[in-house]
Amino acid sequence: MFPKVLISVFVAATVLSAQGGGVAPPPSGGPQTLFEQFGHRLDLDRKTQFPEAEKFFTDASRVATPIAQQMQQLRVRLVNAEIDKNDVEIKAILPEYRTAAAHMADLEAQTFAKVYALLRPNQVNHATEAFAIVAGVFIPPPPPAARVPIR
Amino acid sequence: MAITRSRLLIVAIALGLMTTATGAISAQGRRGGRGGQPGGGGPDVRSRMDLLTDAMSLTGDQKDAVKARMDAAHKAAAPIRADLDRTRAALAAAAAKAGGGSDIPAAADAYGDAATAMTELEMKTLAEILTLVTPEQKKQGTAPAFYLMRGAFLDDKKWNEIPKGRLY
Repeated sequence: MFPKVLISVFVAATVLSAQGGGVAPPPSGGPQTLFEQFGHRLDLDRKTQFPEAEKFFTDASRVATPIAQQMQQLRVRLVNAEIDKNDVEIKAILPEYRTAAAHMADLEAQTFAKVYALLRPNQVNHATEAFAIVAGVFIPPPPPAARVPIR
Repeated sequence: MAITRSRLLIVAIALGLMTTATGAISAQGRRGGRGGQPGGGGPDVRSRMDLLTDAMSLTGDQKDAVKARMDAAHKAAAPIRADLDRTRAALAAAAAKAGGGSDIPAAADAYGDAATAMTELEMKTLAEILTLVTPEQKKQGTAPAFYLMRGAFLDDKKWNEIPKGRLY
């Protein structure tokens, strides 16, 4: 039913974005990845804690891929239902989305819990802020304006 | 009729995604401030309204109408933003608890509720915007607009700047 090409794009976007968001190193001189911002906020040790935390996020990004796909598909369905003013469809979609969003949040939190367990007492002060940085890290975001050439 | 319109929208999004996916993919993980500011890097950026305008080739009147809907949605999003912040902090606290975070599922459910409310608002607003434009404009700009809506109402003060480094 759902166009295969769309699903393929979602898969590619999700996997690659998760890689970019979670683990990929930035190009020389480029801005920090989300994971690097996260690690910096927690003051993770580059040699010991950082690689271990990075592995947690990499592993989680694989688990997150189908969830992110489903969330994107549900957003598309939701727009269509809103355009059609199809309240029955909207009411059917929202609980599905809620379940997927909770699943994703659970995964983010479980991943964060693993990183938190690595922290020394003097590193936990900014834990809540660090966790906020990685909100939605496994979901493709809208293209930022930084990618749009200036005319 | 409704089915045909839905299919058209899905196809439009699919086609659009094929051309915008690269930008979206490259974007992820490099959220930062505006160009030249800390965390930003790269060239200067345009506003979300500029991007919507370009994506759909909006006329002056259409721009006003789109802006009005985005303003209204941003205002309506205030309690949802508060819920997202509150439930995110609770989720962090649950994850930080010693012993493996048995409180995480309940906290994740609460966060999922807030995330769903924000998503519903974003998609409802997008649907409203799409009713303001011609079929040609819709075909041209649906995919970028779809992506531009994500997280549009997270900032307390404005929806027009992207991105401030936050998603949900």
